[in-house]
Amino acid sequence: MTMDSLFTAEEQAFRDRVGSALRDMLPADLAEKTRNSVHLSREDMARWNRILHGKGWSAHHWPQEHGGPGWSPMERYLFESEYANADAPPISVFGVYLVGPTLYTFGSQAQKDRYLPGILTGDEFWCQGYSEPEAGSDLAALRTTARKTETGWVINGQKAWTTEGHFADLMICLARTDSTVKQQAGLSLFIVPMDAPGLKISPVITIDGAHSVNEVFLDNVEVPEDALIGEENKGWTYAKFLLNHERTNNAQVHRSRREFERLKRSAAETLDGDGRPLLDNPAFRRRFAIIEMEVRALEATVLRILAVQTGGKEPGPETSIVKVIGSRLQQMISELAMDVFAERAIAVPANGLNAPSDAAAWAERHLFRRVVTIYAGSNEIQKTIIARTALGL
Amino acid sequence: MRRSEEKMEEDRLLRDSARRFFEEQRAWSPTGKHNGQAAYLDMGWPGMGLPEELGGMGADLSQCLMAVEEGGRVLLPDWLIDDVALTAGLAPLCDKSGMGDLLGRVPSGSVRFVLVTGDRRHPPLRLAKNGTDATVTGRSGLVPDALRATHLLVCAENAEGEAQLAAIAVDAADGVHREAYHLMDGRKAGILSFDGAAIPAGNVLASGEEARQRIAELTDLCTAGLVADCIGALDAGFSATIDHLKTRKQFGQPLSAFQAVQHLMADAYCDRENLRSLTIAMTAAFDGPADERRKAVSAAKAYLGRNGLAAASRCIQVCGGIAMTEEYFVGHVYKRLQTTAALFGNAEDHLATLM
Ligand SMILES: Cc1cc2nc3c(=O)[nH]c(=O)nc-3n(C[C@H](O)[C@H](O)[C@H](O)COP(=O)(O)OP(=O)(O)OC[C@H]3O[C@@H](n4cnc5c(N)ncnc54)[C@H](O)[C@@H]3O)c2cc1C
Repeated sequence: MTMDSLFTAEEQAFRDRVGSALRDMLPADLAEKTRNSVHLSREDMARWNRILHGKGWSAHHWPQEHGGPGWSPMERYLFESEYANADAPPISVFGVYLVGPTLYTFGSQAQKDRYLPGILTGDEFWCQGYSEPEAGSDLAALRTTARKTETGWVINGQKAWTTEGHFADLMICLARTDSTVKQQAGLSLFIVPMDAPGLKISPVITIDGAHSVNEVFLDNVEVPEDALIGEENKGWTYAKFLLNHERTNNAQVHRSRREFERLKRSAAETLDGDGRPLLDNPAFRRRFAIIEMEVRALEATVLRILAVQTGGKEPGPETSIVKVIGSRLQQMISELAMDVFAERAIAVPANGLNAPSDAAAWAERHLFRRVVTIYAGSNEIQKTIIARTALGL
Repeated sequence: MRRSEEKMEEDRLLRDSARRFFEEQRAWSPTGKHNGQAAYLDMGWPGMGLPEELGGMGADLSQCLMAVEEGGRVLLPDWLIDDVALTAGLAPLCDKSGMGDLLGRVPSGSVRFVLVTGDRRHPPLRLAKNGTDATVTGRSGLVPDALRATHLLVCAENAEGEAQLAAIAVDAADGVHREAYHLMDGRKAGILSFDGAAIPAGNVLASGEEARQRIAELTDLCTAGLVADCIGALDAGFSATIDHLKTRKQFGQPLSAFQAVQHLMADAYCDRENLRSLTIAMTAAFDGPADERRKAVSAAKAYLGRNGLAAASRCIQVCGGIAMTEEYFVGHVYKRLQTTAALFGNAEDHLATLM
């Protein structure tokens, strides 16, 4: 792969070992689905999650004491790179990236015992109930309330954009527990079963024509006392911790590298009007070269951040930097794909008989990809964070 | 580029009536079901650019493109580029065999021409003459209004590489196959395959240099129609976005109060205005030399595929998550532009012909 000079001999050996293991483990149909679809089904994600778990790799960035392999940041990076290169399906992010780390950091022992195993095996799926119709970028303005009762809590409100909510078992829900204090100081995190009485869910179709997000309505939903994660009114602190994890993941450096390599291959196999491979057409060559440069820059920046983390520090504004450049890069790649596939990317036969094509998958990916600069903290919000914390402006 | 007072008054009336018509009859709705059928037939728009002696309205190109643009504002699912923009350029063909009669039937909608060009990534369509017959072979690129067309204006080459322009009645010729396609933005299009389709040699309207010039002009007309449609779509997308920015509040303020949002929209506005300027210049260039016309069209089409699309994507960005949903107008504007960007040559194709 690229930039071998940045890795030691041991690191390269580790990479080769996990890479060949992943390729052996991965069922061919799942690799195919990963290449050709944007949103995977629960069944597919669960199946792969189980296989990974068999090897102890389903939560590859968790510490050993909680069921992870206990890898160093660099080992994780190399694993993720091989994972993307194998076209392994991304497993549901909410359990592994968000809820797991929140629970093993802030949860009670009982909560860890109850919920971490289901995340590791992939038997339980989670969704993230933070955003609301009126609380997007201004998350702290959320209106969903949780009221204390004799036996637990009663939750009322509406959540928006709940990704995978329609097949999740549990939601990590941010709700207001004190409305007399500063907005951020009155929020708490709860675990809410998706089949709780009073919880209703309705689908939202996105511009790629798919159903991955939902609206969730909570009407007097009762949860027990121990549904609260950590301390009451500390939800904002926990949630911010969680969002930071989400953002590092959102750099998507390995997936971008992999997509870029695949797109390059498609461009080598596609002829331009002069009968020459697109990859040899000077205009396309240049655009590919520019993205190669951008991918390298992102790889190098992510590695720099890893070096900081290896030194034992928590990530700071760097996570905002990689969110901004990583998301923009994802969009650049799919924009280039639209030009590579040209008319084939915007048209599908009306008879529906054709096998799913590379071009059609790129088109869906491209449309859905407008979201990467909006969610997980919009790029405008990230830039404000960079200006404040990195530049002191 | 300057228009007389009289023309400008005519333009204003036309734009107003077109806008009212589309807003009342064909307003956009999330379900994609525009109410009303192809009622613009009643407005006499098909062939509006044809001279009055052929039953047209004698509208000039600027007015034809204005009508197309107004259709773009409501994301009209029907194509106007062939009925309105293409036919504006067909009058010079009226003395060719049978064409006078056919053109006379365009305004009523009983004859509908589409321009059929080759796939840019494949060898051109072939037309071979043998005596009184001619045969056509090959596969076209995406043809926007292919499914409703009664007549095809086929742009082909003979074995020597000389341009050939032929008119083919869809029903009359064996060996013409139409495949239907769904486009990303919900519109429909078709691809035509010619499997040695035999036509009378008289249907070849022009050959060689004359055909080359005609094909270039007709292709430019369709491309111009696509650009005009997107200007309308983008304008409407802007209005919807600006409304949203003024009403949605975050952090106790309307989104429109955030400078980052203002600057994104200001950038988008610069792009949109440049695109409009290029569209005006493009329209004017149809009165000038062919080479200049081609460059003006390519500049506008390439700009649409780059900056126009970037402007539409910024509208999604500043609206936030809501613009990612099928229910919301702004995402559909983006799809309209993305789809159009790929038709009749994408930005890279047009940049390549610009130098
Ligand atoms: C497909 C999808 C999946 C999602 N999945 C989930 C999920 O699973 N769980 C969940 O909780 N949430 C989820 N979200 C919600 C997501 O986090 C929000 O969309 C995001 O926080 C932005 O909020 P908003 O969409 O309300 O946009 P708004 O906050 O209304 O922002 C609109 C625009 O204004 C800008 N803006 C806002 N405030 C400022 C400011 N102060 N300064 C400068 N610019 C500003 C934004 O950058 C943006 O460009 C998802 C969203 C989408 C679209």
